Amino acid sequence: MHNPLVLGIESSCDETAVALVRADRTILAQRIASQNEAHERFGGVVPELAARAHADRLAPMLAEVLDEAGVSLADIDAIAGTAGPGLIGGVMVGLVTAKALAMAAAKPLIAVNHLEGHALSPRLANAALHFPYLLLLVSGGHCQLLCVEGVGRYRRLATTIDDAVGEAFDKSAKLLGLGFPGGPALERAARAGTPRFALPRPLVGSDEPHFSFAGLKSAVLRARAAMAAPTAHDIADLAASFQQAACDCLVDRTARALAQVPEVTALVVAGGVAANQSIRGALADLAAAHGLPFVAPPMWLCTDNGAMIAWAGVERFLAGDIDDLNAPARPRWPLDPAAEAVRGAGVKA
Amino acid sequence: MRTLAISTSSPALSIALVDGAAVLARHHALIGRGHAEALVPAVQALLAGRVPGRILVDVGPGSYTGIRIGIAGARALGLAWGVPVHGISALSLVAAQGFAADAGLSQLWALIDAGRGQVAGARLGRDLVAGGHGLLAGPADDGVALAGAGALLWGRPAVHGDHPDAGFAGVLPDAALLSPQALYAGD
Repeated sequence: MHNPLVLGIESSCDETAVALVRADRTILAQRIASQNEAHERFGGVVPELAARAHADRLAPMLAEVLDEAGVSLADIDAIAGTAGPGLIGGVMVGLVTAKALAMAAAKPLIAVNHLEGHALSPRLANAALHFPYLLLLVSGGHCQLLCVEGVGRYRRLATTIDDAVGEAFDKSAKLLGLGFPGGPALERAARAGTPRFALPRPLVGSDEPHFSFAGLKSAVLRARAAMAAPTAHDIADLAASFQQAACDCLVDRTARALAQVPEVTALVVAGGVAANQSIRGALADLAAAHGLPFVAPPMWLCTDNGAMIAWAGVERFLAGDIDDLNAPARPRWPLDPAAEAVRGAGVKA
Repeated sequence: MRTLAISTSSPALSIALVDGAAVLARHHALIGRGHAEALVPAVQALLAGRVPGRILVDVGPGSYTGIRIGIAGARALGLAWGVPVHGISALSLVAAQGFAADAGLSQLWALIDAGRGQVAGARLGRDLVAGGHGLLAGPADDGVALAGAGALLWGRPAVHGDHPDAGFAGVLPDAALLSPQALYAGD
């Protein structure tokens, strides 16, 4: 029992994923199946299609992962499944699967908060990362600054009052006709552009700690509409302008948060948007300016995956924090229940 | 063979341990929502440590969310125990309940509440094989008896007006078994 093995299941958005992870950070096997082709023609994730794909793919994927690792359920110490927040149809498929495995194999169930998976995943990649650290969690559904004080102890310092930053990337990409998934497509386009458009940086310099991206997205829409026949150059420049503005917002807000938590040992970024190289670069510079190490998990660990859920399961299992088989599937589930609701949205977490 | 049957395609959470027509244990409760929370603890309590030789799961038609919960649970249990998992049509269950209620029938319309006031169903014979499934505009008025909760939505008399009952899964012949894939009535 000194090196526990946990099975992790993720199905809260459009990735079906399974992984087997040990407490010594060994990943025995993992699979991640994205559903991009199913959602591409709609330009966004369709919840019913996502739930169907999870239901079709999860069981065969589990069998493959166990087979590849050469382990049986009897060898596993706990079953971890995402219980929210996310698209509830998919969450239910994954959580019921985790519960059934746990019950049938007589193993503990760990109902993992998807955001906790992201929050702890940097510790899977980096054994030297200790609590407390400042986490910028940026994805299609979330944009938060959290002081990660320990397993199960997350203090929210800031969240978005409207769109998540990844949502702004995806929607701007759609406005610019750059394809789906939008975030990576916009980043590719921006590489060829120069940020010559003057776009707003909502809340930058504000005393309010939070993020806002709706106005930036609308500014992209207006700038695009002002051009009758934009060239590929124009689109690339507008993409670069958006990315620079979004990056400036993230850096400004993160700098403000750093001033509030002098006790942190590192600046950490996680979530799908953490795959963006410009944002990584800007955050690395910010950390260096504060004399802090900058930790960004490898790209595959930033987007949704099963290993981060298994790892959160490992950390919770070692802390003795397990759930019973009645654990609810939760479309909304804030990591910091004590955090005040913010104006606008802030609804996602 | 001892069979675990699971039906979560309707507002009922219906599970049973059966051996042929014999019902060894059954739990059937109208819960409305909350199948994702209730299913696994209910199966654990029902089995009380027994492990079935196979699993039959209601694959619809019915609530899309409910169907997926049943299938996800059944497939995971099958994987954990190393036992086969087969799908069964909700209509086969409803028909079996109908023929049990009126032994004189040779055919009936098995009808389920497909949500949003819609009825899905098919005409089944005593072989309990549901050939097709689809949303129905209204009663066929072909003189064949109606069975299931869908009949009540039409306000018609029915052999029974119940949701699918897992306790009847044991009487389904092998010819009525399906793959454990969801049947989406609206598609």
